[in-house]
Amino acid sequence: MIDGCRRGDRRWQRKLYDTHSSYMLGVCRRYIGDLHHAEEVLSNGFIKVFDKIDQYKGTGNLRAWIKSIMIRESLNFIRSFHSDMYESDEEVLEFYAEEKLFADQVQPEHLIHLIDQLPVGYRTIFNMYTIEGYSHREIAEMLEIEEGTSKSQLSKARKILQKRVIELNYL
Amino acid sequence: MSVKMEDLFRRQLGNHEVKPSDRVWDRIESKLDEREERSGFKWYLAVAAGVALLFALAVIFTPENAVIETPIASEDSVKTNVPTPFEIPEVTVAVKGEEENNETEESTPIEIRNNWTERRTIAQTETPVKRKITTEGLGEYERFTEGQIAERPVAFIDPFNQPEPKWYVKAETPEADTAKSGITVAVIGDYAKDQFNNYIRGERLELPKEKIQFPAVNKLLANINNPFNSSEK
Repeated sequence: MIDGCRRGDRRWQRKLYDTHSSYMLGVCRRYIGDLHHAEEVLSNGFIKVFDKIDQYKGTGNLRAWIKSIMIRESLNFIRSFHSDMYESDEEVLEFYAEEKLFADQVQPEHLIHLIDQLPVGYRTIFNMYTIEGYSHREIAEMLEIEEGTSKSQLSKARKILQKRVIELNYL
Repeated sequence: MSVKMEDLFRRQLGNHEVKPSDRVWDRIESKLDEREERSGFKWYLAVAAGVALLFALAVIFTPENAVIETPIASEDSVKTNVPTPFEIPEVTVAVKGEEENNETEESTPIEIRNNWTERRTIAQTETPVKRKITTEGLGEYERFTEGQIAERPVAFIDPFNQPEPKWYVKAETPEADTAKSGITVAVIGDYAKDQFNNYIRGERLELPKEKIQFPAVNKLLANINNPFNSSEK
């Protein structure tokens, strides 16, 4: 499949897209608050994947490689919208009234909804640290911020989410 | 507590999938197509730019007074005037009855009278030096200064009115050859004459019955070539 993509064969590119697109849109959607923009980022990301497929060594995990491209693409998108989001200290003004659920009823969509309502900077760093597993140093490099900023934003995000999860009885 | 919250998010969102709509692939495909077209266009542009660059360099680095020399004189300046090579003379071969013997035929040999001459004008060479070159057995020719067109023939060769060539060795008579080798030998001229007569009479041409003796010719062409080669220096 990778050889086919390297040749620029459209059928193999389609196959690669079909294999990974749903997961990758899930990743983009966590970073970007609405589906339409997330799909735009997804398509740009896949074009980058096909452009750079020669750089993929073939030894590592292909999905992780594509995912890193998608994250980078998402961060670029966010940066173009919010230039100083990581420094801003805006508080979450209000949450939508959520329906209370039992813990076993919780679906990913509910959690995404919670993340969506975080300030952009909080959301990005929470995604990168908690879900992707990047270290603070890596986050600082990728976002071109101080490690301290990353840590403080993460702790604020955690505080907010913790509160909401308990309020909504998700845990 | 906090760890549990994070576990929840990690578990639920770590492999969360959202199926993209069909228009996402359409957009990717159209962009890839567009890019391929554009890259093809760039490829042509690059080639065109390269050619233009080479041309520009050639113009820049060519000295202003450089003239492209054409070493070969144009076709017009060398006038070759060759009349019809062999004017076959009016041969009157009396159609003889088959009862007539061959002696009478041979007593009237076909005389091929040839009167063609070669006139060759050499003019407008690029060397402005006038030279006269005399070659034994080949007449004279001259080289003219540039722009001058010779009107008289500079090489006049009459192949039928030449001094006896040195490199031509006369063939021995067929009788002598036959006596030497023991095989009946005919001179090619005799065979040709017979076949010519057959042709005129409308009879079949025959293969040579005897060994054909070709005239011995010295093939060394240096005698002809040398004067021309030496004039190039």
